[in-house]
Amino acid sequence: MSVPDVLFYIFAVCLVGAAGMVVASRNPINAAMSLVAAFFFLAGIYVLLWAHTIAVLQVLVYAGAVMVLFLFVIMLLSLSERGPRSPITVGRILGGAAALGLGVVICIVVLKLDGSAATLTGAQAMRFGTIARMGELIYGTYLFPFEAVSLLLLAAIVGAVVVAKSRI
Amino acid sequence: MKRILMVLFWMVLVIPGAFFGISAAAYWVAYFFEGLFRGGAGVGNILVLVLAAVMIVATLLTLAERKWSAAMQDRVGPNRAHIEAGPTFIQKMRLGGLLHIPADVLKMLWKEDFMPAGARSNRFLFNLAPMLAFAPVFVLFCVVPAGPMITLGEQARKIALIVSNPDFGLLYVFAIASLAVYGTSLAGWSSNNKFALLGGVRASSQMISYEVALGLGLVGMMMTFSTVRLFDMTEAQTQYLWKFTDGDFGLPAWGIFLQPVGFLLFFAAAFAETKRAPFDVPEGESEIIGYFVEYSGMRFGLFMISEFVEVVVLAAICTAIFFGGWHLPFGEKALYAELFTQGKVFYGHQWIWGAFLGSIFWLKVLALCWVQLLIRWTFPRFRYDQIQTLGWKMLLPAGLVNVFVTGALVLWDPSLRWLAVLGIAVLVAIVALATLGTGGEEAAHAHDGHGGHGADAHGHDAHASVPAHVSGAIAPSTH
Amino acid sequence: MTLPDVTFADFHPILPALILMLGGAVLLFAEVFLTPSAHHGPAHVSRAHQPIIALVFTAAAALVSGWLMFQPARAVFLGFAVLDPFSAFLSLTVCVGLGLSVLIAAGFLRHRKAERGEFYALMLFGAAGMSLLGVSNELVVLFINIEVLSVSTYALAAYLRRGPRPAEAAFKYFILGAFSSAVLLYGISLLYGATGTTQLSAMAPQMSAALAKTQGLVYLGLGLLLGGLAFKVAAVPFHMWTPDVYEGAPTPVTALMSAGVKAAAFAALVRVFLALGHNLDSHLLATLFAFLALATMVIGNLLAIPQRNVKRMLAYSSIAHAGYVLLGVASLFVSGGAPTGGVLGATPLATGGLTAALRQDAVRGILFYLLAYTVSAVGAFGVVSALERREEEDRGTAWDLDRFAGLVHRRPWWAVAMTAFMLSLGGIPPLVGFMGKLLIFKSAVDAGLVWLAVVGILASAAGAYYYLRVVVYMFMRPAPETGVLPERHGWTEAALLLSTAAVVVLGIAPGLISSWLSQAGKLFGQ
Repeated sequence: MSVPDVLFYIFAVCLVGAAGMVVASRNPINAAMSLVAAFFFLAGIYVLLWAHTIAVLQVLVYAGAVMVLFLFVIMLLSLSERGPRSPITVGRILGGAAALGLGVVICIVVLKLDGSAATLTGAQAMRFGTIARMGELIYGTYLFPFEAVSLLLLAAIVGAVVVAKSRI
Repeated sequence: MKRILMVLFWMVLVIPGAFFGISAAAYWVAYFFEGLFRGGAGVGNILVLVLAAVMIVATLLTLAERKWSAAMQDRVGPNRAHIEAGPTFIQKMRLGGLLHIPADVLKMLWKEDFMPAGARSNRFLFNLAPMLAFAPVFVLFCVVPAGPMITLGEQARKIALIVSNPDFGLLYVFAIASLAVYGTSLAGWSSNNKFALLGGVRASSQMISYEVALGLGLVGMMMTFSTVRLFDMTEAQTQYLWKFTDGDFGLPAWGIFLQPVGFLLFFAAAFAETKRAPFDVPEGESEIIGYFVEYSGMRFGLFMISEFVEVVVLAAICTAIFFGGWHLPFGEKALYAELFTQGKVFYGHQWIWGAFLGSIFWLKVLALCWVQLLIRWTFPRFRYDQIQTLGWKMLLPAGLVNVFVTGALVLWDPSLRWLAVLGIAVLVAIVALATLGTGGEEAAHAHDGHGGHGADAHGHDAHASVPAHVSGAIAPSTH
Repeated sequence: MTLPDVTFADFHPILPALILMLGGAVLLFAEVFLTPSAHHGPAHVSRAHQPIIALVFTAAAALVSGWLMFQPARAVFLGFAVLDPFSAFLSLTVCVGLGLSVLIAAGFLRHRKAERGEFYALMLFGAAGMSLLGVSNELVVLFINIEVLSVSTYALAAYLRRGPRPAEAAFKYFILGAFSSAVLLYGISLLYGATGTTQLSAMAPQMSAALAKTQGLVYLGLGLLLGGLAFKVAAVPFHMWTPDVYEGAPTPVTALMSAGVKAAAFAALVRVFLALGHNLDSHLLATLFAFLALATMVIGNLLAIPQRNVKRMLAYSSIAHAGYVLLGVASLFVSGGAPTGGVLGATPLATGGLTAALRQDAVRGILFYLLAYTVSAVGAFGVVSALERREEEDRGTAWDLDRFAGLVHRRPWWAVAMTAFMLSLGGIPPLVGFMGKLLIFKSAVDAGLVWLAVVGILASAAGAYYYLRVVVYMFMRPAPETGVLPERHGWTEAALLLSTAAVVVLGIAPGLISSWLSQAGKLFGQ
């Protein structure tokens, strides 16, 4: 096993563990912090996939901005640390079964993939996943979707302000 | 006279000498590690630059801050710590207060490691919070270049004083800097104390608000140099905007001339992120109680030292982006040609050149640290709503306008000269406004006497009978 | 750097949307700089500049759309969007609906003292999304633009949060809308998995290969895509949200929803399924849409009959009208080949399947119907908004039929306008609704869906009952003794005047826009 392989397994195991903690933890702050940890390990996996910029943006946006706001809200709401244990209902069993089934399907699909993952070499690797390349894609090929998304965000921001403003 | 000589001795010989030594050590340690394995230079730089240089400067800043505040308030400052043992000359040794640093460290290490009962249920988060506050600011220095790339030693290895020069340099700074907020908010929450929680909420809201301006402030710089690597930005600042003579003399393309607005935005936002004086509502060390009220011992020490590390890192980033990094403003090429080319005095000793430029970098960093101390002891604290107003209604729009104007000017004139003209005009305007503004204020003081400070009606009824200049002097001297 | 060649010509099809976005931004700035702060009290402040700004930009966008109608069809932005007369006509329809809604909103908001620049800005952003939805030629862009118009309308629906009803409406709309967006996105992802692309132009040639390999994936993906879009147009199995949301949302927003959102979603539906339907079993598609049309027409009309709440009645009628448009969509997909019997088996009159010309006629019919519905329904909502009073909203009587009783004696000219809208919605000649229905039914008959057209005619005959009931109330019931004379709103009356004029003139002389309409049948790639 090469160093990236070892790193991958470390990141993957930690990622799954942290994700499990998010679900299992009864304390909302612990769950939120586990999610932050999960984002970090995910960023590590992005790096192993040569997507450095995505990795940094993952940390910047999700860990640095989104989760901070989550934490902020949880702190302000002062949720009870130990919520009541919710009863096991048919819905929960079905949901769990569905999640399990999806997991099994994904496992089957992954196992069926041939292992000849493409590796990047030379000049290709130098350009792949860099900021310059991403800029070319965003402002070149995907200009129209990008601008449409910016319109979406603008509308969403204005809408959120309108909804959050005092009653009219 | 003796005092002046003393200052000169420190300013000209000891401090640059120390930095020269550190830089030289950094080069050779990096060279050594590079010999062990490929990419080892980064490890060496971590050891010397991050662990040693940054920490030493930050530690000395704790004393410098107290000394400087004393100087500004016409006091002597800390000068009592000494060793109560050994021969008399050791007992009498004061070293200008330097012994306060080890004294503080020992005090923190030996203090009772107290944890409030309410925090025990969150023991893990309570312990984690100081580390989360400290680690992000500490690792920020990894992408800051502190010295040029030189060829070193018999193996002719190329070594630069930078831990890592990734493609996403500045994004790394933003990403990691945005994590510091976890430490403060978790500290406030896990203390299980409502004052700490409120402090944590104040801290996180302030840091979230200023992160936006922090990023926007540097977008103009990214466009100007069309890179986000700090190393490349520093290198880009060697060129001249205008050459005044045929020789190596002119106005360098430093960021401060190209992007004064960006600098002000970034500096203000980053200053708010350090949570120091005008922006110290989250901490309010002296009266309103901040997020670390339940922390003691070395856990508190981590919060405190992270603030000073932040000061150093902020100064280093500003130096690299806006003040030419390790470069001299002019004459650098001429100097190199005079001393280090074939047949000249230092030919073959490139490490001297590298260490010299490294010390230039650290001197600039020190100057910017001093500016931060100056600000911290000059301005009174902003109110909470003033902080939010400044962040959202002034810095953010200014940042957006700056991005638009910079983009237009860079597109229009890629040689950046028009951008520089605008930048210098802005600089002049800022200086003029600042000078005229304070002049006007003093005049107003002379006229109003009493009413000068009461005009903004904060309800300082208790001070109503005190003359304005006295109450003004009381307000900031809360340490 | 290898930047692809994107020139200014690529921006032509999105010019109307850009103008609308600019208008929204101007409105937001005007809110900051022109409107005095709320401390002075909104009553003393003139905010007439807000609708004026909105109208100016809407008119500009409409003009540009008219110009675009005569540009040759082409793909722009590397195939992410297209420029074709179809989308230009849709933009025009959206602008018409938007302009009328803005006029209604101006009167409505002034009456309620709830004028805010953000309201109009959101309307403009939503309309920009609708216009962009028409030009989207890639599924992800399509999804984003659906989200743009949805997010804007969610916020608009929650604009007046008085009482539980509007809050419930906004919340229901948001939750169900988010769910339908997720369904849509899931369908898109499955189609991407099956074909390896999300661009419609690139996907179409891949379809037969994908069908051979992963048939289930393609059909499931298309089904989910159809489900998501059917939610937006309020076709019958996905219509549950419509009455509550239409009733709870502020009336001008309801007008925009019924006109713009529906038109844009139909445009997307037509574009996607025309592009991808080539290689599918067209009998299947025709049957599917015919079923949808049948259920939507019948159930929409039947449910509208017992409603005494006019706003709710208009909501159900909006469902029914979606059914008529779906009839037109169904006739797009009827192709030649042997009609294989079955209840919905098609018997094309035109031999050799639906020719391109007939298909263009069907598209024209759909577009004209959408325009006709826009002017009629927005006008009707305008009258509703003029009559409703804030105080009665909580009691739920703000939109009761009784409020229309004797309207002719109180505001005769509103009664005339409302009559025109009702007759038009009912499909009674010589108004524009009749012309729309005529075109739709004609293309259905041409395509061979004769019996479905008959069902449609019967359904609209049933619809005439509840439309005419409003007219009867206005003209033949005495005005309530205690009734207060409804206030007049200059802006709303302007909207009524314009839509009445449109309803009558387009009904009598549809030839006025025939040059546009004949262009508008052209879709890119068809």
